Amino acid sequence: MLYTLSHSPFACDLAALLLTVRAGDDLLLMQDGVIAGLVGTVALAQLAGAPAGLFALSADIDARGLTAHFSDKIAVIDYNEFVSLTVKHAKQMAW
Amino acid sequence: MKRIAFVFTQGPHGGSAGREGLDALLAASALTDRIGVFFIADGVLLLLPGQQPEKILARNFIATFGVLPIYDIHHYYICAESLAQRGLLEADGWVLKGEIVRAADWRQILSGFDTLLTF
Repeated sequence: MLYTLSHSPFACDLAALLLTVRAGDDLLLMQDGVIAGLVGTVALAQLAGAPAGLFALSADIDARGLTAHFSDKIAVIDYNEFVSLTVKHAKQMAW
Repeated sequence: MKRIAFVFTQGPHGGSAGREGLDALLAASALTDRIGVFFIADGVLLLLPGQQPEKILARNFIATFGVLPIYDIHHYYICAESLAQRGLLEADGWVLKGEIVRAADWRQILSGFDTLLTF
């Protein structure tokens, strides 16, 4: 399963999302979801404990000026790699 | 004229709240200079330097925050707890020079305003 998170972790139930994430799943942070990748946030600590692969969309990070504060534990990808993720996973769950 | 507090609670480019609040702030500045601007929760992200919204085809309204002092708006408060929760207490180069204040303190300052507008 590919999970996409498009809301700020301060505005949604990230813990509920992570309840169902399994090994082999991937989680992509996009739009305001990239805020969850900021170093020093509780959200990042929660993500780090998840079994899923962690990705974030570079355009959304750059747009918000978050690059210098973004965790190196999350793979930063472009739109083409986003498409590859959707090809890899037959199903997507949007949060 | 009533004292008006503009409270920004949402980050940039995910929705239109920041841009709408800025437009309302500029409009109000023509009528009064008894205005306070508060950046709390994800609203602190509005002031991060180096934003490139054109990469997601969004309008770059952020620079306008930097010229607010020209419009005789001089009181800016940034929530210290919100910065800490986002790992940004040590960040610098903010688009707008604001006073970084703890929640209990800006809440007290907020009490001095007659009307609150939240964006």
